[in-house]
Amino acid sequence: MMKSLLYSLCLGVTMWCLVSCNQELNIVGRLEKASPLVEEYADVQLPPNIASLNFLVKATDGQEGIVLTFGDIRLSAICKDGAMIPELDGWKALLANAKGNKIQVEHCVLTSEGWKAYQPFEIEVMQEEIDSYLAYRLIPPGYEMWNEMGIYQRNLENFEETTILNNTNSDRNCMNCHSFCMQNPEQMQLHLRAKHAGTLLINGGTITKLDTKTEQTISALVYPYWHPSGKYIAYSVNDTKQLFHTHHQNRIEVMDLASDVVVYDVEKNEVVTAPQLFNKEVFETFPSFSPDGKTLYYCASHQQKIPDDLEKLKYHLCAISFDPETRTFGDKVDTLYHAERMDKSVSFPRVSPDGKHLMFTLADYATFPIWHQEADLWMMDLQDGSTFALDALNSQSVESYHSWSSNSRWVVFSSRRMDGLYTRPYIVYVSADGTVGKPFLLPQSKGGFYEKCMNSYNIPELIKGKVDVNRHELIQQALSEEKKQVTSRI
Amino acid sequence: MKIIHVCISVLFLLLLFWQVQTYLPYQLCQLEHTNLFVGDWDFFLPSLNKLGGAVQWLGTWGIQFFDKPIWGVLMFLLPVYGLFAITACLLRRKGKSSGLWMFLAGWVAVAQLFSLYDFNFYWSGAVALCLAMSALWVLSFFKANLLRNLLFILCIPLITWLLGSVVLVYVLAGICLLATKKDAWLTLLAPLAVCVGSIAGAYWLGGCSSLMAAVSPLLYFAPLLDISYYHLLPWVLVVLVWGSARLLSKVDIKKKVLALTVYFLGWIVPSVALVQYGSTFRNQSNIDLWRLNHYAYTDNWDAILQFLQSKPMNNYLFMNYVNMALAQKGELGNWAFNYSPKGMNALLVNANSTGSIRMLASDIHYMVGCVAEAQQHAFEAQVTFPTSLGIQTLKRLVKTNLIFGHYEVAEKYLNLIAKTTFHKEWAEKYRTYLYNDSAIEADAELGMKRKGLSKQNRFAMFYGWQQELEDILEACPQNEKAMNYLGLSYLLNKDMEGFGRFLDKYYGTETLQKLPPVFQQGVIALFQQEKDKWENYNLSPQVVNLYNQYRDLFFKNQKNPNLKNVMVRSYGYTFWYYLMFV
Repeated sequence: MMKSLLYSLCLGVTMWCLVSCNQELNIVGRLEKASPLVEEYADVQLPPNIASLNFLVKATDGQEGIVLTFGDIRLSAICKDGAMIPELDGWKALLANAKGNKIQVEHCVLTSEGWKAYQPFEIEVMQEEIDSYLAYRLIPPGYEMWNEMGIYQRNLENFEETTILNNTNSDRNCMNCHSFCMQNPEQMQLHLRAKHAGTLLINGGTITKLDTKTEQTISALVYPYWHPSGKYIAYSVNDTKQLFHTHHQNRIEVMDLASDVVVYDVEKNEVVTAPQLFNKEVFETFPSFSPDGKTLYYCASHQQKIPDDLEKLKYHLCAISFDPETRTFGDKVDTLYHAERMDKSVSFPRVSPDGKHLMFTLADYATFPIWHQEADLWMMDLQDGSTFALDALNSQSVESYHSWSSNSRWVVFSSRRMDGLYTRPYIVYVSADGTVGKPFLLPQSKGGFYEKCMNSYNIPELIKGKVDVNRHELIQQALSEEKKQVTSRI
Repeated sequence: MKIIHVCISVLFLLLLFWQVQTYLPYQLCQLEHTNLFVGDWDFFLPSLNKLGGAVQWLGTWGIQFFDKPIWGVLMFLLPVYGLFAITACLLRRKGKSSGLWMFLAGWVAVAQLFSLYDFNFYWSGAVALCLAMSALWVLSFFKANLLRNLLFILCIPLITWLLGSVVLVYVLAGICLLATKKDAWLTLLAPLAVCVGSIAGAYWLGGCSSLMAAVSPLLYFAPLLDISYYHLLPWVLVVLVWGSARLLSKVDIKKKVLALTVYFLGWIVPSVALVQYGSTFRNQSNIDLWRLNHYAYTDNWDAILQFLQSKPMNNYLFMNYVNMALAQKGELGNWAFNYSPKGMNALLVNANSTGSIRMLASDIHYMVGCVAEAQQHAFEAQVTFPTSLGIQTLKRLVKTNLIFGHYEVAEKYLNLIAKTTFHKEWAEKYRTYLYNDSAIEADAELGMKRKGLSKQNRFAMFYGWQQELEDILEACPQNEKAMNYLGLSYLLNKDMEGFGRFLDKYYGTETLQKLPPVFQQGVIALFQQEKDKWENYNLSPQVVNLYNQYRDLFFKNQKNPNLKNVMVRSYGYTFWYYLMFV
C-alpha cells in the first residue's frame, strides 16, 4: 500500500515537472491587432549567448503566453509573476539555431475558446556574442547613508549571480568604482571607503591594497579608467558635495567643488599629471583612454560658484594625447564637444574597443547624471567628430552609465525608465556605423524580480569572464590596514 | 508536589510577562515599526544563503505581531517560555527528586530575557536557541542509543544552516546530556568534528561575515556595534544546566527542609534578579524615544503631551516631539514655551545616522510640508534597519511618492506592503491613489501636502530652514503648522528683527490673520517701548495683563539674586521669561 502510494506520488511529481517544463501552448485563433509587447520587444536584437529574455506583462498568472518559433523549433512560456520567460535550455537551443536570423514571436492570451495570438512580431539574434559576465554594485538608491552593499557578477548566459565582495565582510564599509582593464576579469580595481579605506588592485591573482591619497592631490583617487596596456589607470580626484532639492524632479544633486585628473603608474606606484589636467580653475573629471592608449579623454568645466551657479556647470568633452612610453601628455587640449555652446554637460566618455565611436552621457548641467531625469546617451563618431542622440535607447527617464563589450557590438547602460528611481541595466546592440537597436532589460530567472528588488544596479561593467579571485584573500586585503602608499610626481 | 511545580512555574511566567508588559511594550513597537515581513518566496529563499538565515526570516515573521497588545508580548516571550518549558521538563524528567532543580529553568529564562532587553540583540537569537534546544529535547526521548546519537549528529549541519551559531550550544549541551564512555567517538568526537566542519564550511562558503559571528551570539546582534559579554550568559547557562541534568538527577536532598529551602531560594534568585536588576539591561532613554515614536506613528498627540508633561525637558528630542504634538493639535501658538524649549533645535534637531532621529526629522518635515526632506529622512532611516525595510518608513515613502506623483515608485512599495499580514488593507486603500491625481488632490492629507509643495526649488537646509518654510507658505498660505514653526523659529533664536520681518510679511494676511498668544508676547517684547504699536496687532487684554504682571514682578525682584527662580515659578511658560533668562 505504502509502496504504491509512493509510486503514484513520484509519477505525479514527474508528470507535473514535465508539464511545467514543457509549457506547451496551442494557438487556436488569431487576434487582429498588434501585441502590446511590440513597442518594447519588436525588432529587439539579442546576443546569441544571452539568457532567456523576459517578456514582461501586467497579467494574471497563466492568462498570457508567448510562442517563439524558428524553423522547426518552437518554444513557449506562460506568464508567471508578470513575466513570460522561456525555459533556459530550450532558449539556448533556439538562439543557437537562429543565430544571424529572426525569431517569430507570438504573444497569446487565454480566451474562453483557448489560446489566441496577436499579430506576430520578430526579434533578431545577432551573430556577435556579448561578453559573458556583467559586474555591478548593488545598493539602494539612497542619499548619504548605507547599510549592506556589494559588488557582484552575473553570468549573462544564465541567471547565476555571485559575489565578488560584500561589505558584510568588511565592517559594512562603502565599496565602489569597480573597473576592469579592457573587460579583463583578471585586472580590476575597486575602492573601499570609510572603514578600511583604500584601493584594491587585483592583477592576475595578486591583490594589493593602496593608499592613494597624496599631499599634492585633493583626495584619494576616485573615478578610474584603465590604460589598455594595463600599466596605467587614469583617475580623477574630487572634492564632492551632495545636496538635496526641496522640489525638483531630480532628488539629489552631486557636484564637485574641485576636481583634477591624474594617471597612476601601476608598476611604479606613482601618479603623474599635466598642467592641463590639474588646473585649479577648471574642474577636470571622468578620464578615459582610447583603445590604442594614445589619447586621454576627459570632461572639464570652468569653475563656478557652488551651489548658486550650479546650473552653469557645463562639462566639455576634451581630449589630450598621452605617450605611454614616457608618461607625458600633449600640449594641446582638443574640445570635442563644447558643452557651453550646446548648453549641456558631458559625463562618462567611453570609447568603443574598436576605436570608432565614443559614447557619453549628456545632461543639462553638472556631473552626476544618474540623478538627472533628463540625462541621455549620445554617440560621437570619432572619424568625423559628429555627435547624435541615441534616440532608440533613450527614454523619458535617466540613461547614464554605460559600458562596451570587448567586440564593440554591445553596450550595457543604466536606466531608471522602469520607475524613475531604481537603476536597472539594459543591453543594446551597436552596429558598425554607431547606430543602436532597441534595448532590452537584463533578463532574470523569475518574473516580478525587478519589482521586488530594492537595490539599484550601479556601474554595470561587461567583462569577458568570471572574476575568480580568492575570496578569502580578497577579504583579508580589504580588512588589512597595511597599504602601499602611492607617491606623487606632481 | 506536581501542583506546586506548576503553580510556581505559572507564577514565574506571569512575572516575566508582567515585566515585559510594563517595561518593554514600546521597544516591541519599535521593533515592529522598523521591520517588515513580506510573505513572498522571493524574500524567504535568499535567507537560506546565510548562516542562520532561516531563523532570521522566522524572527521577522514573529516581530510583525509585536505591536499587538498582549499578543505582542506573548510572541516576544515565546522563545523564552519555550526554553523555560523544555528546560523545566528535562530537569523534572531527569530529576530523581521530581523537579527539585526545576528552578534552574528560571535562571535560563531570565538570562535569555536580559539578553532580549538589548534592542540590538535580535529576537531571532532567542528563537534559534529555543528551537535548537527543542530539537535536543525531542532527541532525548529516543530510547535507542544508536539512533538517537546518529540523529543528534545528523541534525548538526541542519541546525548550523538554519539556526546559525547556536549549534555550538546544541552540540555542547547535547554531548553532556547524551555522551557515554562506551560510545565516546559517536557521542563526543563525532559531534564535535561535525560541528566544527559545519561552522567552518558555512564560513568558508560565505554564509556569514566573520568567524566570530559563526561561533557566538554575535551572529544575532546588530552589525558594527559592540556586544556585551552578558549575551553569552544564556548560552553558558543552557550548556551548564542541560549538561548537568544527568548529574543532578543523581542528587537528592533527603532533608525536606533543606530541599524546600534550596527549591524556593532557587526560584527567588531569578525573580529578584529580574525585578531588581532588569533596569540595568534596559535602555530607558531609548525606550522613551520609542514610546514617543510610536505615539507619533499612531497620531496619538495627546499621549505625547501627557507623557512629556512629567518628564524633565533635558533633551532636544523631547522638545521636538512636544512641539510637533502641540502643532498637530493646533496648540503650538498657545503653549510653545510651556515645555522649556531651547533654541532652534527645539523645533528640529540635527539629523544623524540613527534611524530614530531620522524618522523624527521625517515626521517634522512631513508635518510642516517639507515633503522632499521627509522623504529623504525616511529613506535614510530605513537604510539603518536590519533588513533595510520598515513598515513605518515605507508608509511614509508611499505617501511622499504619491504626493510627488512618482506613482511607479509608490506602487513598488505598495506591492511590498500588500504582502504583509497586518498592513495589506492600508496598502489597498492607498493603491486607489495610484495614477489618480484627482483622488490625491481630493484627499485631506495628500491633497493638502501636494498643494503646499513649494513653487521654489532650493537645496534643502543650505540657507536655513526658514527660507523653505516661507516657500511652503507661499504655496499654501493656510499652512498653520509651517506658519507657527516659522514664527517660533525667530522667537527661539531670539531674533527679534527676524520676528519683526515675519510679522510685516504675514500678519494680516491669510497666513496669519490673528496672532496666537505666544506671538502676541513676541510683539510686546519687540515693541516694548512702543506701546502704541501694540494696537496694530490686536493684542488680547489677557496677554497685556499678563505682561504687566510679569513686568511688575520683575521690577519688584530686580535686585534679588534669586530673580530667575522667582520669575520661573509664575512665568516660566512665557516668551518673556525665555527671552530674558534662557
